[in-house]
Amino acid sequence: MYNEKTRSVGMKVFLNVSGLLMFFGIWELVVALGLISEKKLVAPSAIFMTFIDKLTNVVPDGNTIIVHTLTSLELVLIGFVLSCLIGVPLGLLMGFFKPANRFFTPIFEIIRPIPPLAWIPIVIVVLGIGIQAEAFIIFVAAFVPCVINSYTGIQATSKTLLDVAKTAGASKTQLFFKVGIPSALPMVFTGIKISFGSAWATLVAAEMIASTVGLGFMIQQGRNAVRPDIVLLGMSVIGLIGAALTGLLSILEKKALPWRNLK
Amino acid sequence: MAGTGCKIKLESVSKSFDDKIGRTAVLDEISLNVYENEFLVILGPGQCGKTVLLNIIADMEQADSGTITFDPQSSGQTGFVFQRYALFNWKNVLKNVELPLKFKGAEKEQRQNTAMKYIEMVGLKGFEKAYPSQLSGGMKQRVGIARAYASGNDIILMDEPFGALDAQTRYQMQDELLKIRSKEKKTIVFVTNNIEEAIYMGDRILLLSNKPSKVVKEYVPDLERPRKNTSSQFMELRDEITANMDLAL
Repeated sequence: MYNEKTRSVGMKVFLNVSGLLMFFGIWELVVALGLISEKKLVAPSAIFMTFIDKLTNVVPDGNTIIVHTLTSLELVLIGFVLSCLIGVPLGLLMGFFKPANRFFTPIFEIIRPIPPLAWIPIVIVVLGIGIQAEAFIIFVAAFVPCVINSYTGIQATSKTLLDVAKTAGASKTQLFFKVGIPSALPMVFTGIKISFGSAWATLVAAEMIASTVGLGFMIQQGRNAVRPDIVLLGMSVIGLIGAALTGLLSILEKKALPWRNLK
Repeated sequence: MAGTGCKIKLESVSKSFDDKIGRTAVLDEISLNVYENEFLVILGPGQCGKTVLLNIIADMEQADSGTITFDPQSSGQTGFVFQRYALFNWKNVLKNVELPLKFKGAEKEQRQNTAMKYIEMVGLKGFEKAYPSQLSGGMKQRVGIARAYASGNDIILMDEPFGALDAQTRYQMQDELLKIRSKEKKTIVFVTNNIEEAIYMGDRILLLSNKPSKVVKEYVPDLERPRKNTSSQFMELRDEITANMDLAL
């Protein structure tokens, strides 16, 4: 069947794929033509070979790529999930109830501008070296967008809808759960996606805290061992998994909010 | 026509708002009665405070002074139809119409039966599962009307319910509303700035002035229904009201 819709879908896929092919093609070519030395930049094909090798080889960083990846995923998920569990309710409460807003906003506004990396020294002293400290750094990075988006989302609840519910006899709690939260959900989801991005992007920094395993650690080790292929492999895996999980969150969002994107 | 019982009695209701340029008086000692089962139209120029008056009756805003008394047999609660529909985007038609009953704590089955009855009455049978974003403006307002009726309140306030619709849909919805009303009697207070709509719909029309609004005049159109906006009496009344109506500022 050939119609407008399949044509536009086909066009989208074609543009997606050709964009990727061009990116990797140029990269491959630059190395193949010797414009940049192979010692500095490794071609995608060589990275792929390293990937195959790292599935079983533990040199130079002590673990296979699978172990590094799973460890990093676990770390990011702990920090990210915690930040959602605490950040989303906090933002919603702050946005809906004035006393909560007055109480929490000053603290939040002071914590917000501190970059996650600035926490590292104090976190090592308090939590020691290990997964707790690393997860905390990721938590801090993911926490802020969760709070801000939930807060902004629920504050934008239509006053008329609140009136509708109020005149129908809704209590303040019902207004919060039945009107405020559902109307904030699209923004909450945006916040969650941004949070995930921040969490994943902070991974390498968090694993600088004396890790012995993880993608960030692998990149560090690759650098020390002058193995640009290992460094680029670590970067590639971070990029691919980040994109895949963000896509997964978008699918979840569509499932959770079926009333959006309707024709 | 209207029964004789007084459903709502407003006495000297005044309201002002503070804004950048100072204090603006919006309602100036408004007194009026709303009688049982009548279709009362409150007609006034744009921005004259009609909506504020309706919000005060619905208890969404407080008057500065004056009293509002409901017939003791009435719950004092009202169904409300908003100009901009005010539907819950994340709920389908059925859930939107059920909502007032849900907040009142009605059982699920009773809720659904009542909601379905009114969805059918406004001509939306088959659209129960549709979301508001899938409906046209006219259909959205049908949902709004069904919701107000399903609330179970015997007084329904309508705030320029057809103001956001195109002219054709507007005529259609006017007839639809009169049809619904003939099926189930309710006391309706209908706000509009459209003179023809007022004459076409109203058992009684109260004309408000520019703000601070006062009730300027009362009209009881002595026209047979269905009214024809081309009949000579209709046009006479329209000319008379036009002559007495302030221009919107």
